[in-house]
Amino acid sequence: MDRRGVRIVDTFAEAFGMRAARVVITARSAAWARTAAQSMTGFATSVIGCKVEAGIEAELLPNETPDGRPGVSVLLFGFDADGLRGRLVDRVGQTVLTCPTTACFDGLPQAADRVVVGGALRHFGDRFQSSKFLDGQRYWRIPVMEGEFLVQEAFGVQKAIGGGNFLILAADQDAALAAAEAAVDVMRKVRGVILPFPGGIVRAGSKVGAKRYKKMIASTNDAYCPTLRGRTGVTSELPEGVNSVLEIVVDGLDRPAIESALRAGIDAACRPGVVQISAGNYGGKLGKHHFPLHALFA
Amino acid sequence: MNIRGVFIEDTFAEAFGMAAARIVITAVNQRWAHAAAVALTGFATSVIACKCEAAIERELGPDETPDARPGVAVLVFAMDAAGLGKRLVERIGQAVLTCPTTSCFDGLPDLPDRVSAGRTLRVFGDKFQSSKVVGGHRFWRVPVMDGEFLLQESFGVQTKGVGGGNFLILADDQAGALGAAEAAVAAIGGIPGVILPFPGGVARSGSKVGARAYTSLVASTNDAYCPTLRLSTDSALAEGVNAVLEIVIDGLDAEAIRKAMRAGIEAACRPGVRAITACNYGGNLGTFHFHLRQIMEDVS
Repeated sequence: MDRRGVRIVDTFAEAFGMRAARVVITARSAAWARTAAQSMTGFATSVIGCKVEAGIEAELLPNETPDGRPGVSVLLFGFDADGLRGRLVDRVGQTVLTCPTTACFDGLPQAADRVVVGGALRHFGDRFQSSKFLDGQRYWRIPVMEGEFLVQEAFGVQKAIGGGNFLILAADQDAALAAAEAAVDVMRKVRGVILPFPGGIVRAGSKVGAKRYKKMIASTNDAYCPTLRGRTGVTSELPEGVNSVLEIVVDGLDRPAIESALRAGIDAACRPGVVQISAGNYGGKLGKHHFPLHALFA
Repeated sequence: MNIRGVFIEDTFAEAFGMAAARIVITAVNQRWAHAAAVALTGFATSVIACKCEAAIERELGPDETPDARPGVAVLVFAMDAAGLGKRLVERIGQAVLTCPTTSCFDGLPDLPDRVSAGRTLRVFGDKFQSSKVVGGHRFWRVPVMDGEFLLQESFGVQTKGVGGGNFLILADDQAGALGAAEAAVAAIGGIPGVILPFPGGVARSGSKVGARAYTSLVASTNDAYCPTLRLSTDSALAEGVNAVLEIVIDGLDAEAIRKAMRAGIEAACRPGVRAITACNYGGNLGTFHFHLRQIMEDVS
């Protein structure tokens, strides 16, 4: 399959079942909501190294938030509900409770599974906190130095998918980066997904385990490293003329959201200087969610 | 003491000894150096819950970096050198190794105490990595998909780092406190050797050690400085003070913190602000005491 002269390889992205929460942060201004969200979503690129994957989903207008103020929605992904609860308490406590003028709401109110976040953080109030019950949801008012921190007692947790991906194989680093930037720009407009890596892009693709270090759980994906083409022990997957590869990783609340993001991102990445679009998988045995690239454009 | 009508309380900020590293991230352009730095410094507001405190120190021009590309300097603070080494491995591995076009250099090359973060991260290369010694320092070239990740083997540790320099802005209302805090953050920006680890440089959740109501809590809200609790507790807030914000400063040494406090307090003394004070624990917990009136001596 070709798209504007770029070959789409007949392969699939292999992704994993995860659990996700959506945190809605509001503030006096969009800038302060974004500041809290940026702090909350840092050091959250891979669940193995950071215990959570997180990113900004969207900026929200005052008419889209519970308190009528500007906001940001953040998605966080963990292996299970209990782990996610721990990360929410850590991160809301360190980066939203602390941040001037913010309030913090559950963005998945319909989810049946719920984890207690505000109900744990309320203790910071040293029993000076108080609560309100509105429309079936409890909210905590925790006194802080500039007023009160309003935080919802419980946050919804739903089944989700982590590790949707595609690879951009390009003639050089400039072309790979320009294509990846174009992909990120359009994928960030899709609701229900985040791109957890710095700036939305990852260049350190990995393989499971290592050939030469027994204890490593992951090491560089030598088959996709252009500097290793022709090295002994490397079976390169890179066609002639490919000298730089970047990957976009997508975590999403459901399959249609990831498919929309992949479709938009791949389409935007098919531009001059790009040779192929491929995807990362482990032969289909590790992750139960498969995204065949050709099916996205059928 | 008064500065432009703002009362400077006769008190001191109490701060602690920490270990610090400076990481210089460079990239093809400022956007990507910044993307890596933002990912590296997220969730790093307090060492107790995040295991480190980190933030961007400043942006660097191509003439200031080892590889002549645009860069960002980041400072990372931890309780000791061993902890700092672990945080560097985790955060460089997750946020810089992964980020397109970046390289990663030690920003404190002259310091004798060193942690070898690059030596740990090199194994990601699965023995395809190689190294060079240039100017007495070893650098690793780790193959990745966009080319190579260049990473310094060891990072200098400033054992005389100081964490928890601070001052409090006591204002008429939330808008007044926020405007003054934003002015203070802007004034401190660019001072070498300091970072403000809280979101946007400002903290609103000042805490006291322990809690009265919950015995197992290590810290809880500083009720004496909460305006909504004025009548419920032994308040430290004068009549008319309805919002308080704190600026927390970590620095490579005490002198850098003094400079930052002075610049920040001076900028915060503006209409709508009643007083500037500071947080301490009676002087028994932290080695470093920063007396506000000494720091502001020739300003008032």
